[in-house]
Amino acid sequence: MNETYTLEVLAEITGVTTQTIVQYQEHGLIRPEFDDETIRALRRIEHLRESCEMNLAGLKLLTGLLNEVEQLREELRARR
Amino acid sequence: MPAQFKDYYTTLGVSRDATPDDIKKAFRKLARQYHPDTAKDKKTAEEKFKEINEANEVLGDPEKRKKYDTLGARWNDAGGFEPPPGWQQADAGAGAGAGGQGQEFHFGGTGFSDFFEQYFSGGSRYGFPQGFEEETPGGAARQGRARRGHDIEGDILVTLEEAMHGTQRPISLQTVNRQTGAVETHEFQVRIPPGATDGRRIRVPGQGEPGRNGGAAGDLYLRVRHASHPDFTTREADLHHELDVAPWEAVLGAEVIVPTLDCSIKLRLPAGTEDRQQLRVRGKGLPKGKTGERGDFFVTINVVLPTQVSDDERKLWEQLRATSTFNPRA
Repeated sequence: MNETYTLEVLAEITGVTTQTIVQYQEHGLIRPEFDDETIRALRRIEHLRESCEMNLAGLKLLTGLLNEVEQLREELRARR
Repeated sequence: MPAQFKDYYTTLGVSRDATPDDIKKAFRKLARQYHPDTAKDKKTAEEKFKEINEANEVLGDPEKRKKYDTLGARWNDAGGFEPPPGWQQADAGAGAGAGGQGQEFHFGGTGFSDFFEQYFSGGSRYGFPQGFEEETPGGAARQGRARRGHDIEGDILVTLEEAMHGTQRPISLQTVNRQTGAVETHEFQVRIPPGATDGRRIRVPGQGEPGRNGGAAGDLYLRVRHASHPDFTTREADLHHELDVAPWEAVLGAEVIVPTLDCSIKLRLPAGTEDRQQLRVRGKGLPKGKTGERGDFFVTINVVLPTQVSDDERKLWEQLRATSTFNPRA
């Protein structure tokens, strides 16, 4: 299974502050358990925020959609 | 430079207008023939097994097949394979090789060919299609700032046996340094943990794109793709198997020896088992974690009717018809 990280270690790896991570978590942008998928998700969120100057509402909408697309693709693959 | 074109139709031995069912059947037959566990010449079989898996990965997926057909429409032209004009890699959700703009990267040891990686792998940065760059209008002002390298994503083909027991795989990743233009090859070992499920991403820290102006390197994410197995499919940690049974085995019940990934088990079919009924054997799937817990093994019953019967058998079926009160249309 994926290795899990504490909030502090996650902040250190990604360079995102603990407060921001907690905020993302509260808004459902990242999962409550911190593993490699969370690191990927955080990097994606930060990329969208910095490069596309996206606000929290935009981030919620887009990450929700991206996650749904990924889930559906996996579902489609499993049904083949 | 586009990677060498792969003729997936020839690999699977099907025509270009084959139905999805034809493709599935052709693949299963070849997978059984070349599966490394059952083939005689293991080394040749392994290469062939990878090739047919790759072909199935593309042709077995209607979306990818459509892209492949568009991409390969002119593959046989004189002068070698070139993607059609206007072909956008971003459309393929592919990223390996940025088509002449920006950074190129190239994997080795993932079990997929360069052609697959260039056009069909999940390879991309941040899971976005290529071209999703962060060159914002303010970008120029930020020049000279230390910046972390991009993350790179790709697919890695993992057999179910590897997923069962875990393994180490040597991977090489070739990148072009954006600043110096030099081609850099990194070789490293990637640990596939026991129970690596299909779709799971394995993070390899610091093996992504090099950082700029002293920034840290990005990470590499390898998405696990289970190689198709002739006998089993997976769903998360659960293992699925289709078992062919005779009508009398289903009606009267039977004991059947069934293979799993690491042993054979004796499966008791209860009397009155129905076609497509699913039987579950707990704890015979893939490992779920370090706890030793395992997924389940699901057996789907497939009742097969005899198409040719001997004279004696025919008499018995006739006797059954005369005696039986069973009416399937009642």
